[in-house]
Amino acid sequence: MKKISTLALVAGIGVLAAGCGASSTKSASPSTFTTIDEFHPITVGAPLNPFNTSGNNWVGFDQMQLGWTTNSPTNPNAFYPGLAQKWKISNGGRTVTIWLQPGAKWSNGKPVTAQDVKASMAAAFTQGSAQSFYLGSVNILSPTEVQFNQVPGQDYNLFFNNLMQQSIIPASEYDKVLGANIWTTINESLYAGTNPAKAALAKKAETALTNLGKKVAAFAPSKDISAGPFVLKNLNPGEALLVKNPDFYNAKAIHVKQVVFRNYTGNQQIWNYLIGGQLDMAPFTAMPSNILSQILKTKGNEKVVAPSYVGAALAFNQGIYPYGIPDVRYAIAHIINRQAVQKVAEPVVGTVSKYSDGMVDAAAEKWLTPSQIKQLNPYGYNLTLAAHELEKAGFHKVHGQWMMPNGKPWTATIYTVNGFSDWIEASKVISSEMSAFGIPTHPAIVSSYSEYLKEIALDKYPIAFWLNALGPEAYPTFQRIWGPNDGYNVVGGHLVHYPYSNTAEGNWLDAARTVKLPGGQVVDPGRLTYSLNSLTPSQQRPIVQKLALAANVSLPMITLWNYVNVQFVNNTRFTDYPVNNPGLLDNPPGVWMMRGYVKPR
Amino acid sequence: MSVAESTSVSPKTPRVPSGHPTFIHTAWRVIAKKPGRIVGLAIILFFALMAIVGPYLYPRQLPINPNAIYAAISWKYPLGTDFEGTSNLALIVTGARYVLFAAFMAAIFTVVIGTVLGLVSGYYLGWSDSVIMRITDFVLTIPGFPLLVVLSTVWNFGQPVAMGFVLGITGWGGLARAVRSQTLSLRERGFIEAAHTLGLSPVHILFKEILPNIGSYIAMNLLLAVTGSIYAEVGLFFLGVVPFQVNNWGVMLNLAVFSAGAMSSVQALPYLLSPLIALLVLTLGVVLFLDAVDELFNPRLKEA
Repeated sequence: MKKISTLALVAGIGVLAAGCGASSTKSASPSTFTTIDEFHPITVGAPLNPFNTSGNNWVGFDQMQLGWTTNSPTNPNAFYPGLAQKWKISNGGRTVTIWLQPGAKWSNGKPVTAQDVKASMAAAFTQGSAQSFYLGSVNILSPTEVQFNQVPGQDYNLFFNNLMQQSIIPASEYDKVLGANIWTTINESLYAGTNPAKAALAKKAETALTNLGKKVAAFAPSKDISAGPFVLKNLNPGEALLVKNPDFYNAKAIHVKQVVFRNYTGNQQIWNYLIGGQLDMAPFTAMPSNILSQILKTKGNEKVVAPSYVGAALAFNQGIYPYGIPDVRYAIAHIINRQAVQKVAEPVVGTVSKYSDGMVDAAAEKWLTPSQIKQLNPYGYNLTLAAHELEKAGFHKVHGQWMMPNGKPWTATIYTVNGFSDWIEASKVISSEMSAFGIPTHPAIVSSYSEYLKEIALDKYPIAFWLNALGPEAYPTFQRIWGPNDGYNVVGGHLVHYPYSNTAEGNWLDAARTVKLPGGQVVDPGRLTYSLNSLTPSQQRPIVQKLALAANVSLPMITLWNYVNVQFVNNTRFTDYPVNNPGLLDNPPGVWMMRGYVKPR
Repeated sequence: MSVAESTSVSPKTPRVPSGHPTFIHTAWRVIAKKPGRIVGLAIILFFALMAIVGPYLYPRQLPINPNAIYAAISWKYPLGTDFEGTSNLALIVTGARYVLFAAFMAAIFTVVIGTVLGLVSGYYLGWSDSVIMRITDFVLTIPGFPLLVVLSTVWNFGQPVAMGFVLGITGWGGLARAVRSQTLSLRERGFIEAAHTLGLSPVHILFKEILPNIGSYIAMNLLLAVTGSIYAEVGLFFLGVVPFQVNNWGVMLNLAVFSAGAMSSVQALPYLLSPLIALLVLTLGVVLFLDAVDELFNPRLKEA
């Protein structure tokens, strides 16, 4: 890649290189913290706007949220305070009240108010994100107290989780873009009744919001106005320099005077920074073992491992022959030597997946009991079993090549994305293994991820790489299987299933609507997945257990490896990193600093 | 002039008198003059042989060995191994066919299109010259490599002929202009005037009288186009915008730099150097041999 880390993609990383050549760095200064932005490289000229995909804002540094997730797989509502000092979740999770930090200020000296929070939610509506967690209303109770309600009739259990992670922006800047009537438009767009006139008005309002969203994303404030611990001082193609924000509500906890974000054009540049000992912290970056050992030889560099709830999987389009036959998927699972694949493709930041159950192994071990885990078929590397499965399905071998029941020779193509080097290397190894088994297979690389997503939805790929188990919460984890990619969409607050034949709605998995579990029970995994979004963790547990079994039995995708969130810190210039606090470690270093971590030596 | 007339006055191709050295003898005499030419020829023949028989020397599926990823140079792995423990030597040998065949096809397309259009344009002049030269100008003004990058996103270059064709149709402009210039100069010479007077057909004049006089230039361009095309296709593969074949030299470079960290770690250096050295040696061979080609096809040098 121009190799991007796949895990960083999950967080929405932009892959385009921006600019080149690092200019002089301040990393030698003892109080300058040097790092890189995991979300995207620096784009000179991009607006100082968190809603812009290349925007020059840094989460946890000059871009604040109401709170910071602890990444708990079983308690999605566990948060560290951000701009919200405290909160109350009531009405079964459908109402949230937050109280802003006393003394919270923007870097221009003005206080952070409830009005800013309301404007931020309005902006979130223009980007479609507020709709995704069913935000229905925002009421200002006092200048520092705001109440949020879900859309009436909704019971989304990640409402608080999503709400807390919205970007908070200064109303004084964005109100002029949002316009005075923004909440009228939002309220009109939220109408879900049957009155034709109001429904037409809602449609019109949705279009207006979409159009406004483009303006909001393109809006370029004249200077950085931050409520976070740092504020942008200057930016060039090589780096961005942020200095401590004296107006930050907890400025006394910040021991770092300035932060430098280095630009990069690919992972290999980040490797070079690390080998040179220039980064005080580097987020997840895919790398081979030889580079890891080089990095660890550098004085002060330390590898820090944090939990990650993402897996790399091989997904099947079951609408394309012969992948709709379960035995075929089982056979392929037995043909793949996952140990070899992980060793080649993701030796440093991956671990071999033990259970193909739709979750990463760490989550499976938290949700399932040992006896339930025993029920899972590990689909180990076993060519005899693979041959047996195929013969059972009517396949036979002629001159060393497997023939399909329809009499045609079986050949395969595994699709992956240009730049995703781990997927590419894995696809090559799997192709070799399948070819050696008698299924001539070759990898094919699609030029860009956007093209990949477009074409996979158009049923162009029988076998393709896929990120699954996007946790830590149970609902998004299983949605990667029984969600929009399998035709399950939430429309107007109701679950709708679009059939495979409806190519416009993106059902490319075409998984079976019902799955018979080992105990004989027949479940509808799409409906079960949807039910997860309104249950408490304890209510979710039996559902998750059924879904894990369903994923294992029906095998819509084979999880190859679990990603490991490997980060690096350097102890030469700074010390006191939260290395033993995995929940905090998953947040950007700015959040560590807010909580008093990271001190100059 | 009728076809019959033109045929009747067309001179017969002169037979090689008995005892006259054959082309192969002449060629060998020219090549043997300088050791550098022999080395160049040997290198080209070596790579050609590699492209022809190389894939037969190894199994269709090159073996992988996850326990020997980026292995050091050894007797077992003379050029080290790649990301999945496959021998780099095997990758270079089996990958030579696509790279060289695509480059050869590209050179052929470049030379044929460039020469024919240049000859026709320079000989006929008039509206055909205007049309051909405007098209040539258009081709010349398009930045070739970025165009190839764009084309590669919509065109599958799985077959070397397709790759060669695309490289050829984007690279003939310079040659067409040069051939036109030489044709313009030659068409005013006495022997062409004489050919006109004899009533020889334009096709005869173009391809039997003018073409041999610019033959050395075209032959040299053919070889240079081969190296240029190799660079272009390897460049495309290096950018990772074309079909993925682990034994493609450009893909090897791409993976060595962007996945293996060969620029940061010596362990993966053999993976980077293997295709680089192959390209370097091949280019050296072509450059060394160019000198012989010039002498071989240039009538004036031959007479000397």
